[in-house]
Amino acid sequence: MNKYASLFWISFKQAWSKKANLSGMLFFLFILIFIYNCLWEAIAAESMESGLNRVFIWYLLFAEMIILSNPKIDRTLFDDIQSGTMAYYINKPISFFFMRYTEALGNMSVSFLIMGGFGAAITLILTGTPPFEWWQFPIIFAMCFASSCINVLLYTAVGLCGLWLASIRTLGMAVERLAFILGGAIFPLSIYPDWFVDIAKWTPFYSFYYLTIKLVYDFSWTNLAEAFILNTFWVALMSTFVITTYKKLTKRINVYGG
Amino acid sequence: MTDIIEVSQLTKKFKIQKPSSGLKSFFKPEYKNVTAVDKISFAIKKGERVAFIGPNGAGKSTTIKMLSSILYPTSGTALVNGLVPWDNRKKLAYDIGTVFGQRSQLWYNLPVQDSFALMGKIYDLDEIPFKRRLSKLVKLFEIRDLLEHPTRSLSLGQRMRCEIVASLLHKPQILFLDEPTIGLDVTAKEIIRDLIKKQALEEDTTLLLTSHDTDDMEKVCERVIIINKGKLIFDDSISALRDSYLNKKYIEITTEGGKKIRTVVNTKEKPAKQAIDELVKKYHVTDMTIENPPMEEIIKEIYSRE
Repeated sequence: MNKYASLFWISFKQAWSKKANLSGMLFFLFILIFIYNCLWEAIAAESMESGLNRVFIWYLLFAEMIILSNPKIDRTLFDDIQSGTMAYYINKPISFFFMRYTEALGNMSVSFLIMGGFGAAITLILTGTPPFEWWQFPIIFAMCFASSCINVLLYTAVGLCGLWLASIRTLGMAVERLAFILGGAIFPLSIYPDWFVDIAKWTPFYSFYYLTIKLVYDFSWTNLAEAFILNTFWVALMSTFVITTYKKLTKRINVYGG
Repeated sequence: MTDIIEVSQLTKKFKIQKPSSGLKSFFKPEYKNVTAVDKISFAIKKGERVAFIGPNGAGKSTTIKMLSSILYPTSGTALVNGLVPWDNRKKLAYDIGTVFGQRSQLWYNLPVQDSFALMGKIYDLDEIPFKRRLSKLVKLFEIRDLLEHPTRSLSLGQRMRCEIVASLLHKPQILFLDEPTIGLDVTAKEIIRDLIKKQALEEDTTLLLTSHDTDDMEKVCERVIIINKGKLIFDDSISALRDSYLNKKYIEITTEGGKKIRTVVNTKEKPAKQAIDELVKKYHVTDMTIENPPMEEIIKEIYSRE
């Protein structure tokens, strides 16, 4: 097995064994789905639109799967940079950056899958069948999983900002809030005013989260293509930033030793 | 025997920002150059066990970092197993092992055996040779009972044994050990020293060990390089150092009443055993420690004789 595949698998197993962590996360997901279901039921009753909660709770589930499965790689990387740990991996035949990213993906995958299974069961019981066709499920699932990987990449970029910043907590929190608002991770952007959506469209959060999760209630090949193309564009841009920053970081370690 | 490490005029300068609180320094900070390693030259033969010692801030770790391809030098050259370390990082990685006493290369939350398995993958080791190698090292370093424990639950001494095993899995020709006994108690230090030496002799591994503990070099190495303020001030065999500078022993005894008596013995004039016998006859000794002169004193003496 390739070294990165081994890293992925080991961190997957590790995350899987942390039962208390997973239970806490599922409890939080349950509370979130339950409360938002009550909220959307009330809105649906007032607006006389039956089934509104079904659509939006399934939307919320996929959004939370992406957001909550983030393994906080930003903090790990920041600590590695600040403590100088990174320097001690630099003379090993492995890329430190890909090592940490792969470990994070292993962690993320466990949370994503567990939340997917548990959340789908809860949502099915509370609201009924999903708003998409069954044959669309693998596509939506794969797109959301890809978005989760992108989410990890986004927080990798945040962590690497430790090269310039004394603390990344504020930046990490700002990105998280922006993801919730501009990415439509709590409420779909379709319920926001047009001017707000126009602003959101210029940010990566729009495609990372909203365009992908939107497929849950509005699946079409056009929407899928739009999500795919825009995500590819932002991933390319973000990867360039991450790789450039990582190279700068390595150069600094070569000069200052970590 | 051929030289496996060749260092010539190796220099490392760090640019450090001058502390200042003025507004001007915010926009235009001032820097000063600090020379950590100053034109050092030496060569090490294959299989040699060399101690690289000096007080804190002498430049030991900086040199090890340059030779193990972490740092770029400011000037000078070095060849490690025929490769310029900073230009051949990936290639050299398979020939060298590194242990940094104050850093761990094991995964904190993983059982030790999982960390070893990952190291095996990182160094592209095949399954069967890896298992054979691991089994040998586990036996040599007596860590069978530790394999299932996560790194975080190990004592410092246990962790250090596992760290050394991790760095030896790919059978490196050269092992760089940076303060491997730092923070360990006397017993753990003894165990680590014995194991390092045993392994090096068994596999003909070249050792470069940094420490500010003179006991480390005496117990493990055959040659010593002393560095102070970035400059190489001594390079000879341990026996030459012992004859010239380690001929003093500090003996401290505790008497029955709890009184501590410290005495310095020149072993050239009187063997340590004789001095101890005299002390035991004279006092009712309840405890005793015997130490080499501290690093600072040896360095002071080297300078005073120049």
